[in-house]
Order: sequence, then structure tokens, then C-alpha cells
Amino acid sequence: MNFLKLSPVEKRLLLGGIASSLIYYGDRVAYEYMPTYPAELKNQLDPHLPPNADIITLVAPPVAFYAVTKVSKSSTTQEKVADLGFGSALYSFPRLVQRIGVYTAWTEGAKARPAARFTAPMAQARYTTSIPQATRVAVTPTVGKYRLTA
Amino acid sequence: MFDPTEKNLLLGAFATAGVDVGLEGYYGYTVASGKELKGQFPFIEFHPAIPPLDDWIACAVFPALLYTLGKGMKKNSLVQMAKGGAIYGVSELIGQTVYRVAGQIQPTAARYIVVRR
Repeated sequence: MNFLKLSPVEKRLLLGGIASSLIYYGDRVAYEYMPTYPAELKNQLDPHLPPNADIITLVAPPVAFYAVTKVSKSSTTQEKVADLGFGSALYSFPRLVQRIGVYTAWTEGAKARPAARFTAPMAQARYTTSIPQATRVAVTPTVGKYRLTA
Repeated sequence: MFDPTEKNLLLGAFATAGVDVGLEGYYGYTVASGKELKGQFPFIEFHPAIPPLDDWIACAVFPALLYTLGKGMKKNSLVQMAKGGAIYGVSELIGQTVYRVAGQIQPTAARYIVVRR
């Protein structure tokens, strides 16, 4: 496959795939670095599935291209957008399957992880407590220094 | 629904994604189960801004192999599958490079700045 000698159809397919990939990874950048990224999109329906944002950004581009194909009236535009849409599908659907596979592997791997051992510390007292004994201090009264007055 | 060419393209893209999920799934499973794989073949990272070797194998080497096989055996279906795989692979490598470069540009310390006025 010589990338310099691609047919117009192949170019459109590749362009659709790259557009879809950029949409997906553009969302990933926002997901990672945007503090106000919506939590609903970060959630997962199931631990084996990728986050909702991944599913949306992978399914939306081919669907959008398909919708444009249906809406447009010019047959030339329809043909071109259909090629872009198919190129987008060539990236998005295999990628979605890949993400599901990877998340499943992570989840199953985490299940297979041996449980961390927390041994109860059998600590023996190192320090002995002692109550200081009360001692008597004999105080000799000072005489003549102070005089008791009525 | 699909003509034979489109079927072959889709089959090639799914086969490439299959190799990708095989390598990345193995990495994910092993790391999640508590073992370290980073730096071991094929999970070698040349530079933080460039996809690791396993992605290059799945997204570039595998379609190239299909293409060479198709040309060698003179099977047009294999060549079409290679093209489908290449569309998936090239898109994935470009997207991932953009994502990794963005990660390099974005300073870690500035990720969660709360501005209070």
C-alpha cells in the first residue's frame, strides 16, 4: 500500500479513520486533563466496559457520517461522505472491541491478583509502666520569718 | 449490506484490532494481576510522546505483513485486508501520538488548579 499513490476512495477512507481517531483521542485529552470533565462520562456501565465517553466518541462519528449521507441530496456528496463514514467505522468499531477486550483483561487481572496479606501485629509491650510512689517530704517550719497576726 | 471489498477491509481492521487487543490485553491482565511488564519486549517505550513498540507491531507491522503475504501469494483479498488494517493502524498511531504529545505539553502540576477569588 503506497500512501503516496492512494486512490481517492482510499484517501477518503483513511481521512475518515483519522478524523474518528482524533475525535476519540481529543476526548481522551479532555478526560485526563480537564478538571471539570463530567463525571457521568467518566462512569462505566460495567467494569468490563470502557467509560461512557469512550463508547460515545467511538460510536458517534460513524453514526454522524451516516446521518449526513441520509440528509444530503447530492449523490456526489453522498458518495464522498459515505466513504468517510466507512473509514470512520473501520477505525471506530474495531477500536471499541479493542477497548472492551482491554478493560475485560484489566478487570479479570485485578480479580486474579493475590489478596494482600495483612498480618496482625503480635506486638509485645516494650515499655513497662510504673506508678511513682508518693514520698514524704519533711518541711521544717521557718521560725521568726513571718509573724502570725490576728 | 457490504460488498466483498468492504468486507475484506473490515476483516483486516478487526484482525489488526485483534492483535492490538491481544498485546494490550496481555499487558493489562499481567499488570493488573500484580506483575511488572514495562520495559520488557514488546512493551518498550522509546519516548513518552511516541506509542510503545507493541502498538507499532499491531498497527504497522501486522498490516505490512498481511500486505506482503497478499502480494507474495497474489491474493487480492489479503491485500484488501491489509488496507483495512492499515486504515485502523495509521489512525490509531496518529491519534495516540497526538494524545501523548498533549500529555507531554500539559504540565502535571497544572492539571488541577483551583482558582479561588
